[in-house]
Parts: sequence; C-alpha cells; structure tokens
Amino acid sequence: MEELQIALCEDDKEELKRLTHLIQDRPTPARVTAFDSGESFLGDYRPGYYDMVFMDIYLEGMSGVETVRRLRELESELPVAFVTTSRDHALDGYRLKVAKYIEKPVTQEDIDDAIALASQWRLQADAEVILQGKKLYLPIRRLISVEQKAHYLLMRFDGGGMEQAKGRLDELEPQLAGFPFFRSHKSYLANLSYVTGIDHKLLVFNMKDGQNVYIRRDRLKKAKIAWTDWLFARARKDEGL
Amino acid sequence: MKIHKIRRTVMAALSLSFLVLITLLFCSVLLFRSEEKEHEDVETISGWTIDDEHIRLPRSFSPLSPRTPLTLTAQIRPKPGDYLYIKTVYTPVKLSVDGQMVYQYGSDGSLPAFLLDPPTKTALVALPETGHKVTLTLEYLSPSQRDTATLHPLLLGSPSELMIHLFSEMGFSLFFSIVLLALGIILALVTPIFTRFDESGMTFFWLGLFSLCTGAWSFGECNLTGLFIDSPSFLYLLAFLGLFSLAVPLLRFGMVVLRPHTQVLLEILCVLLEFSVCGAALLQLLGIISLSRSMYLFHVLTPSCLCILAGTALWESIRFENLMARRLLLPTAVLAVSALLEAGNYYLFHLNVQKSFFFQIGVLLFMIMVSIQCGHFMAEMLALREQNHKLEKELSLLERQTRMQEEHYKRITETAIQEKQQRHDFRHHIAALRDYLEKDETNAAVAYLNALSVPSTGEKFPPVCRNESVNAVALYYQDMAVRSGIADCSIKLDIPEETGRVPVHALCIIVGNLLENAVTACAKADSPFIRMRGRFADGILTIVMDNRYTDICRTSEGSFRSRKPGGGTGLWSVRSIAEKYGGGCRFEAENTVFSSSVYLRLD
Repeated sequence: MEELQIALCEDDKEELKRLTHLIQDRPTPARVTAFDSGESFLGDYRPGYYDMVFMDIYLEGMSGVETVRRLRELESELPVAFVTTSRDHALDGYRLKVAKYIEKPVTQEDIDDAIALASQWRLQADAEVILQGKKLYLPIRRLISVEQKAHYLLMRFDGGGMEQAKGRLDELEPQLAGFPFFRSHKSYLANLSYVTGIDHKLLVFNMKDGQNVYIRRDRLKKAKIAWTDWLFARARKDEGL
Repeated sequence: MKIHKIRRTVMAALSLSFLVLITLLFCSVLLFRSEEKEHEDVETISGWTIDDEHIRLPRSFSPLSPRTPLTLTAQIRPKPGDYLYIKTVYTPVKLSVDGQMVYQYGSDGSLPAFLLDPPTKTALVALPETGHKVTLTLEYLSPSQRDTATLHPLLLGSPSELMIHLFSEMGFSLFFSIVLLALGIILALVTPIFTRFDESGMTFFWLGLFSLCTGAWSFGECNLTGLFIDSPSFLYLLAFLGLFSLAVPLLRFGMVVLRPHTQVLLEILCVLLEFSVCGAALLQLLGIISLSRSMYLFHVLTPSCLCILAGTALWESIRFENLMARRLLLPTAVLAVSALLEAGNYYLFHLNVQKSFFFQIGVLLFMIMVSIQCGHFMAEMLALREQNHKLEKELSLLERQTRMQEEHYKRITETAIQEKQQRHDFRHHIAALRDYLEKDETNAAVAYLNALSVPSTGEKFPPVCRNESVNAVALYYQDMAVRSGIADCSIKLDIPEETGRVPVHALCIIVGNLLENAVTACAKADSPFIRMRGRFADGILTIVMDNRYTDICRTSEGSFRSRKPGGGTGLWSVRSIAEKYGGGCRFEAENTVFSSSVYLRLD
C-alpha cells in the first residue's frame, strides 16, 4: 500500500512534534503534512489527496471547528479527528461528521485507532479496474457517476473533473461490487453516496453536484430501495452502530 | 416481477385469442350459406325497360333536371300471396300493375314541405292475385336536390321469404344500431352515479352520447327499420342528425379524457361542428338545402375530426407521454381509419357491402376498447380516491396524536430548562450558606435551607443533540431507560437547531416514539441495549436505532402489542411523519435485535 497522507493542523510546536512522532512511529507508512493554521490548511487543500486530518480545535485565527465546517463544503466524507483539551465541542463533532474525538494528552492508542480509520478510508479510495484489457485506477470515492457514450465511459468526479475511458458499463459494474454503485439505467451508473434525492417525475437521481442521473422507469422502485438501504447503512456505519 | 409480467402477457394473449376464436366461430356459423339455399325464393326483378332500352337495377341516371319523370316497365309472374319489396331514395314513385296503381309514395303534399325530396322509404307491397303474367310500371320523378336519380332493385317473394332475405342482409346493421342505442342510453343514465364520485365521470356521458348518435344514424339508415316504422321523415332526421353530430360528443370525450395541451384545436373543431349541425338543421327547416345535400359537407368534416382526434392522441402520447393518450391512441386510430374507409367506399371503391359497414365495425371496435379503458380509468380513479380518503383519515388521526405528543414533549423541554435554572441557582445557594456559616449564623443558615425546596437531582447526562427540544426528549428517555435498568443506552443525534420545513415537534415525535418503543421492548429482554444515531447531510436527516427486543411486550393498559415490523401506533406515526416530509422508514427485526431506520428531508 502507498503511504497514508495525513494532514496535521496544530499551532503548538511541542504538541505538533509529539503527534508527528506518534503517527510515524508505527508500522503503517504515513506521510505527515503539518499546518499551523486553518487558513493555511484550506489554502493548500486538494480534494482526494488526504486520508485523514488531525485538527486542533483551539487554533489561532480560524478555529478548528470552522476549518472543518469549510472542509466539509469541499469534501464531505474525509475522516477528521478533533484533538482538544475539553469535550465542549462534542456536538459540533456530530454535526461535522468527525470520526474521532481525541483528548489531550494524546496516547498511542488514540493514534492507532485514528490511523486504522485512515487505512480503511484509503482502501475504499482507489479501485483497480480492468477496462478492455487495460488496467485503470479509479478514485472511487470521488466518482459521482459513469455514463456510457458509444464505446466510451464518461466518468464524473466530485470537484468537477471529467474523464473518459474506452470500455463498457457491463464490464465495469461487476468490478465495482462492494462500492455503493447502482445501475439505474442501461447507460448510467450512479454512486449512491452522492445522491441527494429521487425525482419521481423526471425519473432521475439528483446528485450532489447538481447533475442528474437517469433511472429507467422499471428500476425506479429498486433505485429507491437501494438508496435508502445505503442511507441507513451509512448512518449506522459512520456513527458506529 | 418478471414472472408476474409474463403471466399477465400470457393471460392477455389467451383472452384475446379466445375472443377472436369465439368471434370467428360465430361469424362462420352466421355467414354460412348451404348450397340448397342458393336458390332463394326471393326473386330480384330484372328485365326492366325504359324508353325501349333494357336495363338492370340498381342504376343511376344523371344528369337530370329536378323532377324529371322516369318510367320503367317489366313483366313478372307473381305467385299467389307474393309481395314486392320496393326502396326509393329521394324519388317520388308510383307503382302500377297492369295499369292499376297499387303503391304511391312521396307525391306532393304527402310529406312536410320543408323536406324538399321524399326521404328514403322501403315498403312491402301486396300484389293482386292474377295468376298470370302482369306488367309492372314504375313512374319515378328525379330528386330536386341532386341531379342523380338512383333506382334500387325490386324484390319479389312471399312476405316471410322477403323478411328472411332482408334480415340476412341488414340484420347486423339493425342489431348493431339497437345495441348502440341501448348502450348510449345506459351510459347516459349511469353518468350521474359516476359524476357524483368524480368530475371525470362525464366521460361516460360523452361516450354514451356518441353511442346514441351512431346508433341513431345506423337505425335511421337501416332499410329494415323503414318496414316497421312507418315514418320515413322521422328515420330521415334520425339518420342524418345522428351522422352529423356524432363527432361532437367524441371530441368532447377526447378533451375530457386526454386533457390535451393543445385543447384549443379540439375546442374550435367542436364549436365548428356544432354550428354546422345547427346550420344544416336550420337550412332543412327553411326548405333551402336538404340534409341529404349538407351530408357532403359532413363527409369531409367528420372523418377530418376523427383524424385530428387520433392525431392529437398520437402527439400527446409522443410529445408529453400522456398515459391516457397512449391508451386512447389505438381506439381513435381505428375509428379514424374506419371513417376514411367508409368515405372512400362511398366515393371511390363502391364495394358491394352494406352502407356504413366499415364505420360500424370501427365503432364496434372503438366502443369495446374504450369501454375496457374506461373501466380501467374508473377503477384507477376509485382506487386513488380510496387511497386519498385513507390518507386523510390517517392524517387527522395523526394530527390528534401529534397534538397530544406535542404537549408531552413541551412539558419535557420545560422541565429540562427549569432544572438548568435550578442548577444555576444552586451555586448562589451554596454561596449564601457559606456566607452564613462563616459568620457562625447557624440559625439563619437553617432557616435559609428550610426556605429552599431542594431541587430533584436526577441523573444528569451530557447533551446528545444540538437541537435543544430533541435533546430534552432524548435525555428524558435516556433517563427513563437507565432507571428501568438499561445501562447500555447511547444516543448521538446530529440534528441542527434549524430544522427547515419540518417542525421541531415532528422530530421530537419521531425520536420520542422510537425511544419509547425501545425502552418498552428492552425492559424485559436479556442484556438490553439501545443505540440511536442521527446523521444530517445534504438536507436529509437519517435516524437509525438498534435495540434489544422480546417478541411481544405488554403495554401499560395490559394489552399485548405486536412488535412485528411496521406495527404499533408509535411506529405508524413515525412512518406518517417521515412520508409527509419526503422520506420513509424501515423496521426490521432479527433474532433479538430490532432495527428502526428513518429518513426525511429538512430542506
């Protein structure tokens, strides 16, 4: 496995050193990028790059809570661990879908738990697929939808990117088993984690990026079940049920 | 699903082939003519001479100026008791046997003056018993409204033989017209029953009227009726007014059922037709133009209307994916084609079939198809009404329940705020007591203590939700859970302060109901636990809860409540709220764990 990309937001130099050691003194290879403020972290942010963010809540300038709130507008699922001295912001944690809540002083065990989450996240990040005999790495978590256009697959990514590759949906679909994809149409495959609703009249999935993905009339019922299944499963998984 | 579909298709195919086979069977039996019967006892009189020219009937003469006399003679040898069947179309006629007049029709003054030409008339005429060859003389006068006189063949035979012959030729037409008339009357009569349920019950009225018009036309047109109803003028009016107006109710029917986007076109056509019918009637009444002449206008108008209706159905079904248009497409197309065939036959092909045969077949098919569709339509509508009714009832029940629960949760929230206030006061009390004790004013301290009503210090939990109202409700039940021995009770809800279009009490009801059910279900179970989580993302709030449960638990009233998924009033009201706000829910029970999952839209 490639090394994990970890972002560390901490304005206390001593604490930063300590955390970096804790993260790197482990068997899992990890690369730490440090930031001393929320502003610098957001300024350098690239979607899909990091596997985990450790965020101090009491930062100079923009607070950790505010930084994560803005991060969520850019990438809604990336795991974040709050590092703090008090539990005051537990409720902000729920709201911002913070995966871990680490109280100072940070122990190796806390870090191990957090890194395990990051590894799991990384596992879901890329899928190796074979299209027309060619190997391809797909940043699966950011893949919103795939559309078949003649002999090409048009892939739309979170953040506005588009890519195309020669291939057929019929060969891609089985290779994405295990990821929350739903074949809603002969020519469309939708990532359920980007679905925000179903328009029964237009027969489409409304996606997070404002685009629509067509649903065949006879698959509408299945589409709804698949989506709600996924909603419920995510709520259970994310919140640790 | 697929099997269901296949089964339905097979059933449809079977019933269709059954229908076709039965129809074929009946047709073959009815149309079968045995060899012996070929020599009918009915004789078609031939060998007519006019101005020393030999001719055969039917025959048309044109051009003729109005009221040109045409005199035909023929030699016949009638058997005793033989009758003549004679049909005249817009021509006054005198029939003589050996110079003695036996039948006269349409001479001036015998019919209302505004009719201009005597309407089509059929009659059976008794012949004098002579036993030898006689000379028939027919004196026709050509019509005044057209330059063509069409003379129809005369038949000779005994009355019963003549009737059998005529029925075999026109029986279908007569039967068909009677069926249509009856259907029209029945449909028009049952309309009030349907309109009471729904406005679209008017479809039946228009369909009935269409059936009535078509029936009237066929009834008036059928030559058999002339033998029984001795009022050719009445049949004439019936036939033409029926023919002229039949497209009007059809267009109205189309407008009600299709609700097309381009209603204006049909509307204009309808008004045009109505005016034309009125105009034709008025012109006839004034004795200016007879209905038999205005008919040519309607030969163009009616098929055009039917084609435009079919076209509208096609356009609607393709452009707007109108379901009713799709259903009506085939029937209207059949009707349009049959009308075109009928007009084509009248002017071009001149096939040897009964007049209006094609259109009658078209109408028959149309009525069968549309009746089936209408049945479907009504069934769907009634089902929808039923559903709406049920929903309304549920909603009113829900509202009542909601109000009760709102009160309940308001009390919980108020209590929580009160306790917070009390905790705040507590610090002041401590300070005051310390002050008294430091000054050794023990009595004052005791008096102060006595004056205080000591606040209840129940077990306190950290907040589980940013939304204060939901938090209060959740903590209330967490407290209840811990007190009933459920130590493993964890609740974490990501519910924002602002709950958008969903009133906060609705969320309180969902959380409260789920937790209340869980506490009840857990109470008697081994190793009980309740875990509830809420996640809010992209405007969708998802609440999930897993808890231990026993199959059946006793409610406080002592009755048993089934814990099966979807049952129970609490779960029912959770479902109603979720569905009201664009979401849904699922309840699943596995072994000893009950899982509840709800989602709804806050935006």
